[in-house]
Amino acid sequence: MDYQKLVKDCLKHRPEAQRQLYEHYAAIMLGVCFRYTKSITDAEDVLQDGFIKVFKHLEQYRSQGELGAWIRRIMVRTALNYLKTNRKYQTDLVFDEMPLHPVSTDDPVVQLQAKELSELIIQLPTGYQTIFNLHAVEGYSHIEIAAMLGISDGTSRSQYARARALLIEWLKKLSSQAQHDHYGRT
Amino acid sequence: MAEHNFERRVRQEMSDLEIDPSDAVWEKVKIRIEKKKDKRRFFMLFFLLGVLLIGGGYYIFFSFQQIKTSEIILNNSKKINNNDIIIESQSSKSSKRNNTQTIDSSIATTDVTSQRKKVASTTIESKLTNIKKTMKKNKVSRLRSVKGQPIDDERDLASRKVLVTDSNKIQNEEEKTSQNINSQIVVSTPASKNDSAVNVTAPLSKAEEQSDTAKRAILTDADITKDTINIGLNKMDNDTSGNVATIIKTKKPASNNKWNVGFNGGGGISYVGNSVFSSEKALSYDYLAAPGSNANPGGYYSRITPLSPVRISGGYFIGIVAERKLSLKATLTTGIKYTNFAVSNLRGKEYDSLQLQFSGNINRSYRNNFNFIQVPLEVNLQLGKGKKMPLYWHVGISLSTLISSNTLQYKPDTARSYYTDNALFNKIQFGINTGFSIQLFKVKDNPVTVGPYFYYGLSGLAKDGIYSKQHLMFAGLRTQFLFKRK
Repeated sequence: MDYQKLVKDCLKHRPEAQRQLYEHYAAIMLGVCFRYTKSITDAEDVLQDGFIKVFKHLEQYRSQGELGAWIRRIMVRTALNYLKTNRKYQTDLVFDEMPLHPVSTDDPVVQLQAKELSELIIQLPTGYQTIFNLHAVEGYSHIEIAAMLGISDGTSRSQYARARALLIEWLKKLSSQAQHDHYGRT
Repeated sequence: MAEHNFERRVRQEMSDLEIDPSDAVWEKVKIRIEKKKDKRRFFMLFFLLGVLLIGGGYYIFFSFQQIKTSEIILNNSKKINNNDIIIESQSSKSSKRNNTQTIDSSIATTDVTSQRKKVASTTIESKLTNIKKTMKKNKVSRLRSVKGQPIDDERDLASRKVLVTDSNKIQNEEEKTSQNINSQIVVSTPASKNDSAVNVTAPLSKAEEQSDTAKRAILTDADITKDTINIGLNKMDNDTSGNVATIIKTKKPASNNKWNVGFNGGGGISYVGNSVFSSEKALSYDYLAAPGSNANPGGYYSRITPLSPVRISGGYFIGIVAERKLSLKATLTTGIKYTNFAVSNLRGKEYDSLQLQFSGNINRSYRNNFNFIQVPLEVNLQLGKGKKMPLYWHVGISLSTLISSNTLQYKPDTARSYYTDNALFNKIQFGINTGFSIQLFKVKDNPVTVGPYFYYGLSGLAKDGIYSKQHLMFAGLRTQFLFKRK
């Protein structure tokens, strides 16, 4: 796909180009949005807002980086904004100052499937979920996360450590349950 | 490293996660994109309307200025008004000076004195150019002969500049002062030219033929430029004046009930508040922080205020106005103007340039701009009877549309950040304004007024967010320049 031409056509407000851009990235971006919210419906709301921003600010895309990465950044920002402004998430999006929790070096030998993993992630408390997504999946540093969320980087580290530990614990349980089911059947 | 291994695997799995959205999402996106396009079209139309208004105003004003000088009536009035201006040629030779070769150009205006000054300071060339232009346009000019019979315009006007009495033909020295004066405008050619009688176009009256005093002719360009013309302002007695042949009249337009266009602009301070008297305010936010959270460590839900108060900042406006007289002392003004009101606050570091999001620390100043297009409607009343520097009181209403804003909202939850969300503002707003102005001076008879100006946004600034239930206010100086129709 010629992304530059696609962007140019979108900038000329050609509906077919806009549709093409949307269809190309919608599914993968909904996956991104889903990880930050608690339901597909909310994720679709974020996706909608995100794509509106994409088309609104498309002239700011300099064609230097990958278009997908640029759109992804917008989706993440939109998701964070959604969490901050939506009352459903506001009260749950709490980042308590906690003593620094060392990040476990535990590396469970568990089967990670995208669908199951994402469903586990969305079951984390919203604060944990957000920081886990930002750090583990998007690759933001704790300092960047701290600036984005208006918290200290220590809080970000601490929240991440707890989120990671909780997730690994759930994965282990899931794994052992799967093994038990497997041996039970055999 | 184990940690990196886990994160890498998570990242890899998550990058593969794809979920197909429902069709409704695209439909909603499409509608919102089209709305934005419609908005763009609206602003383009608005801009074009503004350009048309300015262009139209400019055209009307300047075409009016041309028409003002255009009507030339040459008539055969028998009486000379006191206002008549006599132009005498010095180039007439001494023998002929005794002849009453007077050129009386009667320029009918209300203000005789000013017209005289104008005439005196104007070269004959410029007059002739004006006449030529006017005649070419053939709008309202008319030539009349001595007896009121029309001159053949087609034949004469293109090449002729001014009516001249051929001095050679004015031989009758006995008729020095009391004889019929046939021409109101007499430009005598130099002696060499005087001998040649220039084409006389109009039939002369019997009396004129008998006295053979004057015949009217028209000079060519070359003739005129050689002339040295002395313009004298002489009053002539009504009763003793003889026949007056030619009068150049300037038509006086009736302008009282026409729209005058102009420009206005101003600057001052703007702020938001619950009322006119709240100049600086720490806006409250209708948000209850959860008990036990960072924002509210106590045991009850509590209201939180933003970190930074909103402060006064500068504002300005510029626009075009149209004014119409309602009565002797009242005028109605409307127009269109661009207005920028602003308030400032403190915010922290920007962490998302795309969505204008900032942390809630208070270390950097930020100017929150509200950009409006306003359509005001004002009544202006003259206070007192001052004519030199009249004082006016203005009172009016204005309808505004918010065209853009970078104003920050505050989220006092754990994130404690500032962000932009213009959907929270009322797009259409209604306000009242008042003020005074005094006419300081005139530029070419066009008045320039200056005075204080106050605006109060009657409708709330925003539906929600920290600016809900707040009103925009502005206080400053306004100046206005109007092109007055004469």
